Amino acid sequence: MPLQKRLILEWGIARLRAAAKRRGVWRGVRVVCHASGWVRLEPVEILGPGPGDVLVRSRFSAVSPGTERALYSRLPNTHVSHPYTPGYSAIGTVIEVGPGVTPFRPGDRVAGQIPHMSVANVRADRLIPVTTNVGDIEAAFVTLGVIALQGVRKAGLRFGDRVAVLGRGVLGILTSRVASLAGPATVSIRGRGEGPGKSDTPAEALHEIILDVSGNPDALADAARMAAPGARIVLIGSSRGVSPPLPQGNAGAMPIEIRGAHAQMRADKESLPGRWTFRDEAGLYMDWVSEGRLVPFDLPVERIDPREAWRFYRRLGRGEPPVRAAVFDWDRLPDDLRSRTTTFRPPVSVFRTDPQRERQTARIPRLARSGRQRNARGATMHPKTNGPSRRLGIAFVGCGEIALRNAQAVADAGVAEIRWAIDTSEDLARDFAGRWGGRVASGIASALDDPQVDSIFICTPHHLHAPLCLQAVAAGKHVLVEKPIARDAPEAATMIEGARAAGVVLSTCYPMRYLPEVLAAKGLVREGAVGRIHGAKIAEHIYREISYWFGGSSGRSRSSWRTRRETSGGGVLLMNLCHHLDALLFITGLRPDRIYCESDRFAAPGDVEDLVALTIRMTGGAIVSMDASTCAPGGGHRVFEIWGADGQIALDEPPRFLSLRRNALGSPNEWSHLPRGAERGARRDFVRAFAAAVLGAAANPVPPEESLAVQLLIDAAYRSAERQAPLSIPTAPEWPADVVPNR
Amino acid sequence: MWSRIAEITSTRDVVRIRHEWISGPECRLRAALVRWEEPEDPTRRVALVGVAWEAPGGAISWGWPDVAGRFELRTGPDRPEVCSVLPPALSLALAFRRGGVELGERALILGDGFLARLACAVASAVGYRVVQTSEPGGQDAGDSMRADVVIETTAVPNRLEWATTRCRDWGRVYSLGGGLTSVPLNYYAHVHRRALTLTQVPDRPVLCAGEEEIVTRGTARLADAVRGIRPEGVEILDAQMFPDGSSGRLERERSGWGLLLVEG
Repeated sequence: MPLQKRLILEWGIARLRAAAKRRGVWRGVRVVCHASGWVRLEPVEILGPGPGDVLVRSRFSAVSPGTERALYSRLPNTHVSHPYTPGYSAIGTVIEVGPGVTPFRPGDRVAGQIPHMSVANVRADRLIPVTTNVGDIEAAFVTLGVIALQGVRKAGLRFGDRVAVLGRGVLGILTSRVASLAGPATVSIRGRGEGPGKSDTPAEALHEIILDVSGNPDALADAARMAAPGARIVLIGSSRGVSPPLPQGNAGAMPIEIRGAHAQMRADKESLPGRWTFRDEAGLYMDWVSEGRLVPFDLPVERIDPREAWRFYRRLGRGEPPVRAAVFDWDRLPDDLRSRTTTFRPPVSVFRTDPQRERQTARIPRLARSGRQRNARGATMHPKTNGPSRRLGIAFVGCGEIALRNAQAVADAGVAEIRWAIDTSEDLARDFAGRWGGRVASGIASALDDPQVDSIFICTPHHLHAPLCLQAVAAGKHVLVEKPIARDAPEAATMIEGARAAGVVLSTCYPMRYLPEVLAAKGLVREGAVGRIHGAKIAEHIYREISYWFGGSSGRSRSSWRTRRETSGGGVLLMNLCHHLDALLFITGLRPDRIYCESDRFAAPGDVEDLVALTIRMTGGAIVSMDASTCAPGGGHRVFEIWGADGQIALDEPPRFLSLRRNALGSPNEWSHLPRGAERGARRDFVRAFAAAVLGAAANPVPPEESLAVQLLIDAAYRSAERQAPLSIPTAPEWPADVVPNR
Repeated sequence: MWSRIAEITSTRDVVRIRHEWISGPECRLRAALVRWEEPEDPTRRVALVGVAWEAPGGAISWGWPDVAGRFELRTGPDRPEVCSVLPPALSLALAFRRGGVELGERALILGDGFLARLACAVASAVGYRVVQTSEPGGQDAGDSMRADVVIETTAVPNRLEWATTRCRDWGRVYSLGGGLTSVPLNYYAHVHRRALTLTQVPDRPVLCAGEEEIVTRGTARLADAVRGIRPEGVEILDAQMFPDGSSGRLERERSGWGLLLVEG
């Protein structure tokens, strides 16, 4: 929902609730994360405290760098829905207490689980009074102190134990200091990659207690190597991914315990042995800080102006420079912004209307509904299912993220059956087979020998497309390959040659072609509704979290292949923009003639580009401008427009067109909606069309020569960027307009 | 304490054990518990887990190998075939002792092989109420209720993950058979967030400080619990002992565990 609408809605709801509950409304500000990489400070309105609640005006809120960075960058094992307010540890002053709250009075200094808000309503049992001689900033770290305390408590640390703490962050330092108070023989603290010390004797290198505060899934292997017989490894930090198997050898023959100590798993109402409530742990933290036994962090502490939150989080997201103890300093805000009772003026003027949005709205004066849709499926398909009459046997090679989507498409299509799930990771293959059926294998050989397998669906990293395809076609199997067809044009040409020689169908999964709006656009161009094409503009700007590069969007399969040109073939141009290039050539039927490209890498790890801009001169004179990136915090900027002498088509939201001519889908000189569909349906239709092509009932839905054309264009773009000069695009043996399907 | 050294090799049909004394009298090897880490290939990765010897006077002693393959001999509380299966049982019993047992807690044991049967016996002996299941989702798995303790004995990929889902929050999962060293695991989702304790139990005891006396005190009780439990004899292999030249037969089950008994 747009921010403006959301604020107005929240404004209304807050007043309705306030009236119903006879409570006041308070206005303040809070840090809000709207999307991965997009943080801002925005106004918030909250009700006065209800039963059991305390209204607190924040002074300092502590940053928990590991957790907040993970949430901001959406690293694996983070589960938040946007928008959300980060933070969980702060100090402030009580403004008002709700009915039934006895321990606090207005004016009290309190600390507890308070997010990054200037004013917040907090449950009384999540707060604790601050001891007089405890400083504000020390008190602001109370929740982190509680996390450290309960982790050490769960470890069952005893007098004389040798303790290692993995992780040198704020929580790591705090944990090591808490552990020191439990009477161990030694406490050592180690950073990433620092396993047993080189100067340690074998006995010194082993520890009875290892507290893992690193958040790094690979640190568990270090912990196991440092473990003495019967050692306890306690997971205090949340690990961001799947840990590899523990190392063989010393650790493999060793009895060790791994204990989880997540902050949410503490006692709720009453402390039990080994499980204390938040209030009891927080009370202990305050006592020890007050007595001077616990110094929770090293000075200096970074004080952040909440208005600069976005800048701080960008730095945190990059992890450079290392962030130590930091707090948001809410005193830096003017009083009227920080907390006040509400006015009844809705927050409409808080943000100015986006002029870009106004401009776009103005260009679409009236949107007429258009109900017609085109069906471009094969004419000889089954009349009821729109599919062929025999079910196709498919073996999936690669069972990662995209394979799940394609398997869904196969299931939706109802014309094929998954016979094999093949992946070098047996876990992935088993998981895939558990969801979609098929036998599990770690290599392709068994599937190629299986006579019930008609086709291989390649969903692997790009550098494996060509070798797997050649193996498959040599065995007489048809091949579906997830886009792009290969890393570069020579590889694609080899695949095409192999498929031709074997007389099998080779098709690239470009499902965008089967979106109803794309099919409708192609129809409009074909019937002349747009006239001679003059230009096109395509922009696709998104934000890829760092975790994407090592595990895709879902983290299902951990690998760094996307970050290396050697294995991926390229970055945003090859991985993302190839869809749009294919759709553009498909819709317009134009050929690219000359290209100029600029590209660079700004945030992506490895050596692939994450920002690219292209200018393409098409045959016939049209000029196409394209730009794309995966490093735009907030993301979401999409444009896909094609215009000509007589009209314009826009395939971004909502899909629409305007034609000066009479046409099949709308009235002349009026913007009309195009039918629109979803990716899932497009993939389904693509699979049906492929099955029909294999059975000889229809043409190849995406002939490989057309994929080669896209690949040639991309290759030329990369060369242009390297040479910093415009280049002519070489003519392929088969160019889109001269397509000779490979069977 | 007397000590001996022993090593095992294997072909498809025959196992050979060479054993020699380091200190103490010359003894006859009478029984041995053997494990193949790759059951499909009997020529590779075979190891002695527990061995029982008979001294000239008829006294039985037993032990398990340390990393150098040396056995420290202890007085045997029972017949050789019982003593030889004591090491994995003792390793599990010590793990229970370190972790603490709440009398009457429900223990779910995953697997149906030798290790699972052994785990059932040991868990019962220390005060758990035991349920055994061979397959995830099996009728005996008590799917409607999470167990306080889950003991995973199969080392099959994904079973460890499943085992954690069958354990209540704050519960304990014991991994026997090397599961932790063979499968990746999302510790955040399966251990950390639920405050579970996941314990790796080696197949032979590794003693911590002060546990030597526990072994001495506890083995008679443990021998009572595991008497009669042995690997199923799905496959029979000949066995030859060196240098004494005695022979025997080894019964091996599919899981890779086998029990060797020397004739005479």
